[in-house]
Amino acid sequence: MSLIFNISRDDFLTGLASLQNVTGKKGNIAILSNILIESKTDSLLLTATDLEIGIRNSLPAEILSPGSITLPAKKLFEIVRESGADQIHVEIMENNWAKITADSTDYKLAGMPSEEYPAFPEYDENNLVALASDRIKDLIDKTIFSVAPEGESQFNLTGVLVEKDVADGKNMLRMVSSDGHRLSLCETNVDNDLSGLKMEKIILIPRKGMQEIRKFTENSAEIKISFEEKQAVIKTDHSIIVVRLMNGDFPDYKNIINMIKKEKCIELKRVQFMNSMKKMNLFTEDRYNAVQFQIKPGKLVLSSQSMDVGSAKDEIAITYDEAPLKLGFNGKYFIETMQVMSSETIKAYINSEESPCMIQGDDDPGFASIIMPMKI
Amino acid sequence: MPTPDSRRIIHLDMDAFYASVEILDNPALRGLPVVVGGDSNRGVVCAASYEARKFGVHSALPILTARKLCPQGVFLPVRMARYQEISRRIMEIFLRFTPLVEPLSLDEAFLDVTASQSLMGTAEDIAKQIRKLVRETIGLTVSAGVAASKLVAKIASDLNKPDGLTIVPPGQEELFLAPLPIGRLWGVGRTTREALALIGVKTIGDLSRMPPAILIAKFGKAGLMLHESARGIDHRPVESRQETKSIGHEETFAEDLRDKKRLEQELLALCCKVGKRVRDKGLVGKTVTIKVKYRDFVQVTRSLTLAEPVADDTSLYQTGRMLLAKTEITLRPIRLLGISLANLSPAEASGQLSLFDDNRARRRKDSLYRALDAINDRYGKDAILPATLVDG
Repeated sequence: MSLIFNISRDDFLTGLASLQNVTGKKGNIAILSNILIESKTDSLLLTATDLEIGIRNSLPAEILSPGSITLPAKKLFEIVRESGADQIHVEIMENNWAKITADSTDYKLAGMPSEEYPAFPEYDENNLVALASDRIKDLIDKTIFSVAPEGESQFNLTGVLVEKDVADGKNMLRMVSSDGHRLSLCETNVDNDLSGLKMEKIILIPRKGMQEIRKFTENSAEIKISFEEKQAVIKTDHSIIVVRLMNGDFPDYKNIINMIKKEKCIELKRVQFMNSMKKMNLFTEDRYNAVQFQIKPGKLVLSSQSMDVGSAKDEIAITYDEAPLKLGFNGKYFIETMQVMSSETIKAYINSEESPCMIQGDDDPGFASIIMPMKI
Repeated sequence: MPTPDSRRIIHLDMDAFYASVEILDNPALRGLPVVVGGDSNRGVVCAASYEARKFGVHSALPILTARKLCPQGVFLPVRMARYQEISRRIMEIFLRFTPLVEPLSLDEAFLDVTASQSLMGTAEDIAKQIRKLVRETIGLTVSAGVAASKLVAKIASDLNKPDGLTIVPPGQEELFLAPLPIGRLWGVGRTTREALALIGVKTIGDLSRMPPAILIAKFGKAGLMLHESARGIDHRPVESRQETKSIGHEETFAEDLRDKKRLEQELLALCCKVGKRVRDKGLVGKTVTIKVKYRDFVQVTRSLTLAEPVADDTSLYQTGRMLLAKTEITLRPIRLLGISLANLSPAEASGQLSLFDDNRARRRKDSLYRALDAINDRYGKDAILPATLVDG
């Protein structure tokens, strides 16, 4: 018997779309550019993996004959996307060929046997702890942007550090990322008891895995999470993602935060400051985006110049009455921080030309962005 | 990109260069199998005269094997300074015909003579003149290939070696390549060759007839390059000045080492050399790679990219030592150790301070090394050494 099913085009499309990012990585095993399709009583299981990340979705479907197959992920997705039909009919024939019927169109698509597909990682259902999705999403959004690009490996800066903590009797979840020049930290109170969440070793989740987890937080009000020896497991009612954890250390970020003196502070309107930085960024050299900050009593003067193009200058009124400071920053770092914050006014603690600057906002509780200056 | 390629490129390749220089300096060796490559039995063959090649001796072969293959061979040590001197004179001849000379090594170069043709005759004429000049003024023979691209010119120069000249007329690239085995193509090693053989591709012609889609499915982006190469398409320009991609040193030991302490000492000595050269060039680098060759000639590399670029001996050594620990050091005797720094950029280019480094310590380190380098420049390279490298 071979697999035959009917499925709603929209359900199928959503299910396939969510798997596209983890299939077909170049230079990989051929079958990994396929997705695994298996039948349950009245549903289909779709599975994709790049061996780092595995995602499995369960979709409602009318199973006319049980079975399993693997089909090319991208091609199948394109067929379903281009189709205007309400229903899609799929029938597996000899030699792993799939006949797909959508309205008046018939497709024949070459598949591969499901036996060759790697097994989905096992996990322990009992370890899962439920958490509010929006909290997790906020943590991810406020940290993922400062993850180091691939190729940097002195520390494992290419992933996001996840920690749990108890402060003032409240359960906290924290995420931290850094590319060596800046660091973002965000922590949030969670109502749930986190004692069931096993986090004995350092939990480092690679950027791509974190991006996929973020998508999970958008589709469901609550997600269940667990950390196992080598993997993070995130589950919603109809989907599950398993991400392999990175091995290794994360630098001692607490030490850096403790060293920051919160003495000199300037307050800035977030949107105004962000827009001004964007203007400065038009005239920075491509690689380092150096923007000069001149902090004087009563005003902040921002300026940038690019040797071949020209220069830009802007002034923002601030409350400041200490000794003037002149320092440089990568403008892109500030823009990205402003973009993830929501406070109307932000506080920037700037101490010296060579010490880290910390940015916080009243309406961004638990969040801190730390940026190292540039020598100018 | 100009398509079809209207350029005229000459690839010049000295015939058995090191061996030929030895014969030039000692004419009594003419007609004998000459092998250059270290006076001990530990090195590898750097060059073999065509007489020696008849015995199966070729470069990169262990000297000991070469001695077995060719017991009557004349084995000579490498005299790099002499080869460099001759090489300079040869490159000067090349430069008389075009400023666009890209040396690949001491004995090989690409010349783009497209613009020289109106003054100096056709590319073929220029190749002939160069070959004549090298023969008459230096006394050595050079093989040449003339074609519209680097890829085809290089294959052409190799075809009628030694003392050969091969011209591929414009538009004939595909025809010229078609009968040749695919192994001639740049980047086609054993693995690719075997993979291609599975789909029935043996000659470059077979390859050019393969639908690109199949090659791309099989080899990804490299598949597209294969397809283009097979048709003789290669738009890479002749670059007269090459950027330094990495700086490194390596050492073949007089006897195989398995003592960790000794190996670390050797590593430190190499790091001092590499560090000095990197700093002399005003560069810093992020990727440290070590190379280890075991007794059985199996070679492994281990590499690490640092968060911040470095140029000091200590950072190189610390990283190198960590990488060395990832090899089978102490388990297998090691005959060669090397370290290199890549991912290079000009020092002090960004000024971006690091969160996790002590920036002030870094600057102190910079000035320390400036002082050390100055002392060693003035009083000889071993005036100041790490204590573990001082004899006695």
